Amino acid sequence: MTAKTIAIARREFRALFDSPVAYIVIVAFLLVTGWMFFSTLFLRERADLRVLFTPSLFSPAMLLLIFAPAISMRAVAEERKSGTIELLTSMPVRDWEVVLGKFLADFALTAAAVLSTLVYAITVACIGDLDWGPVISGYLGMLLFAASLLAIGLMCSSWTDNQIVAFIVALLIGACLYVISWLQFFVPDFIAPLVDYVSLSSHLSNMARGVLDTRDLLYYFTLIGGALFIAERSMAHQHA
Amino acid sequence: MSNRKGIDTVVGVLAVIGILILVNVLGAKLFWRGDMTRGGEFTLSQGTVQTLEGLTDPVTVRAYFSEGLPGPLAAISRHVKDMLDEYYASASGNFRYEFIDPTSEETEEDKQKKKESKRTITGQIVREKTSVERELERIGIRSFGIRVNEADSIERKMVYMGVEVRAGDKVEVIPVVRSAEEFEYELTTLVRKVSRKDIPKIGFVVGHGGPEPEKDLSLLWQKLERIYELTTIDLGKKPEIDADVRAILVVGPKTALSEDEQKAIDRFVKGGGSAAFLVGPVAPDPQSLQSSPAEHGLEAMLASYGLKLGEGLLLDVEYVPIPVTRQSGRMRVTQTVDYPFFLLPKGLDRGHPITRGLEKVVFPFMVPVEMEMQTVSGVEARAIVHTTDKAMIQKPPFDLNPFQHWTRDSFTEAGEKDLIVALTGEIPSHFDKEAHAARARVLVAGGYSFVTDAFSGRQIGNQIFALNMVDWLVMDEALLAMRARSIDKAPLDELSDTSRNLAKYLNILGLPLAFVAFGLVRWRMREARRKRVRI
Repeated sequence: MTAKTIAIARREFRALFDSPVAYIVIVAFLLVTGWMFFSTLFLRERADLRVLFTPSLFSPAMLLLIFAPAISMRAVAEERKSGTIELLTSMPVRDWEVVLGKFLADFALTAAAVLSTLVYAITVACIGDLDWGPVISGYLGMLLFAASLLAIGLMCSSWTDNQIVAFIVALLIGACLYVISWLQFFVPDFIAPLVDYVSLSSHLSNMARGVLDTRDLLYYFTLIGGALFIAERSMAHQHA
Repeated sequence: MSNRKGIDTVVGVLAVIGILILVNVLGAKLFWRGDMTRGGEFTLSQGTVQTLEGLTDPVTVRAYFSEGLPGPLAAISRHVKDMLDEYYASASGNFRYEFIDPTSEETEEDKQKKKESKRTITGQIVREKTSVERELERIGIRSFGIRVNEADSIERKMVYMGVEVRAGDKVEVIPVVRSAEEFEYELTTLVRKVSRKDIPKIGFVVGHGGPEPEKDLSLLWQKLERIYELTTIDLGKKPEIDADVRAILVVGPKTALSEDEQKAIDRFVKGGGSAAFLVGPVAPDPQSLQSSPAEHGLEAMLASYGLKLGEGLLLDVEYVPIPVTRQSGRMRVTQTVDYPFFLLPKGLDRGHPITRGLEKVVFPFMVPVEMEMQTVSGVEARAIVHTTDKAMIQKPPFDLNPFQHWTRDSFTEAGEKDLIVALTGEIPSHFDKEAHAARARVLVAGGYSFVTDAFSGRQIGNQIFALNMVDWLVMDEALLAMRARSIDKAPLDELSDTSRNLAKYLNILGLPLAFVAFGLVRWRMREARRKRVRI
């Protein structure tokens, strides 16, 4: 990672917090997540955070599915729409430095929202004997899950100058990858294991249980790497 | 030129995607799994490792899992496969396994049979069973139905998720693996059963109007049967306990055991055998909740062990309400009523192997067990279940009517009382005052309804308690540790409603408000800075 990447990431991150976007995203995420978690905590009576990480139709992971494209939709599309992309590409920075810098800024914002929920873990640890191992793997899973969605969002943002189009396409791709494992009932038997592997949520649920598996890590890293690579190629192709 | 660049970009992107897919394919073959849970929920327990290291003859496991299982079932299938890999790696040669899709074993004839389905008069589609289905049914592995998409329509498909464990001519099966968390316990239990030269024998002392184990304690009997060899012992017919019996259970006799019968038990304990006495002064009827007196006649023998059973039934503030059906006019109405005789004590000894990790165990109709250990030496007595200090006692004659008025005046204050006591060490002989057991275990409970099917034997907590009790009696610490691990889910501390609400709303609202405040402060500072700037 170069100094230029970090400079871009810092500028983008500050810009996010100078606008109400960051606060709206974080506050909305925390309100809904807090309610999802604490509305059942005392019913379950278990000192664990598995509910926070386990993907379902009504879970914080589902929220990220919507928030991540909303954060990343502007990354390249906005620059292209306002014409500042020309300015940016005329500077002595490489395309991958721009893509990585923007990705890191978006990731830092999402990580701030996700890691804010560590307060829940501390609360649970105060009122029960919390096992921190699955909490750590759960957070790692959530961060990788969010990073994957952001990379997909950034990739979609690099394809168009319309933020709404970028948002919708990224949301669709993310949603397909999220729910695909639940659609195994509807696919022929021989592709069911493939469908399970491709799914974003099945890898997250493994980490939510407290299992660190190189297959899950590899899946997320290759998905992030692949999406960012396509974003970089897309940018390079368009200003070539 | 632009076209050429476009083609180059697409080719580059496809090449990288191909490489990433290849990396994932290789990664799926060569992987590493780490277990982050404190209790190593997803790592082989010490008990399993010891069992595998101790294998002297080959054990073969065949896991019959259908291909293409959906969602959560696929996760269980994956977990079973991963765990079998771990078993294989730990067993140094004497453990082999096959992971089989039953359809892959079908012959051409079987495939033909599957195509030839017939419709019955009721419209049900039936077909002849394949050889694989018949064979799996014969060994006890059952298929079950799930909904799948076949040829663009949702159909019910029969799938397998069973495991066969074989050593020589001994075969045991898990008909359906229902939970990833309990798989290790179930598999290791069966590996032990098929590989052991001597399976511990457990005897249920029957007769005297007490519950019949295979009928009234059927749930416990079925679970124990998977681990131990079980037998019933009628001391009235033959006042002797066979030497190969490792532990006996005396459960709820209604009439007194004769002196000869007691002597047989005494000789058994003196010889190092373990015994559980689940006895009380009342034999409740599960239908009518009427009581009849029970005279087990074991008071003197228990007194020799330093224990005395109280006479009154315990009531406590920690209890479970029960459903009661009664006739109301022409209608039969079922309602849930408070019933403090069904104790649900939180006072479970977390340090003892029997109660470690347990939470909800219901103890109906119990009398206190009092320890008078001053006269007994060399014995360690430990109360593993006790009431709160608000417990009360109903003295005979007992009124078990669930619709009675539970006023404090009707009962006697009892304070904290022990319900179950575990004894280890040199248990003294009742009939031979000079003798004592070299190393024995005795458990005494002031009641027996907690193991019967009719009362609380169906509760998971009660079943685990009863299994733990038997494991402890036969000193199978490995199994105990494994089972405790599978249920060790940390509970939350007791909190008042105010504290709960405070924790809840501070987190739900406090955290977002803190971010809003941060944003406002930052905005005000920026505004102030902007005003200071003069051009």
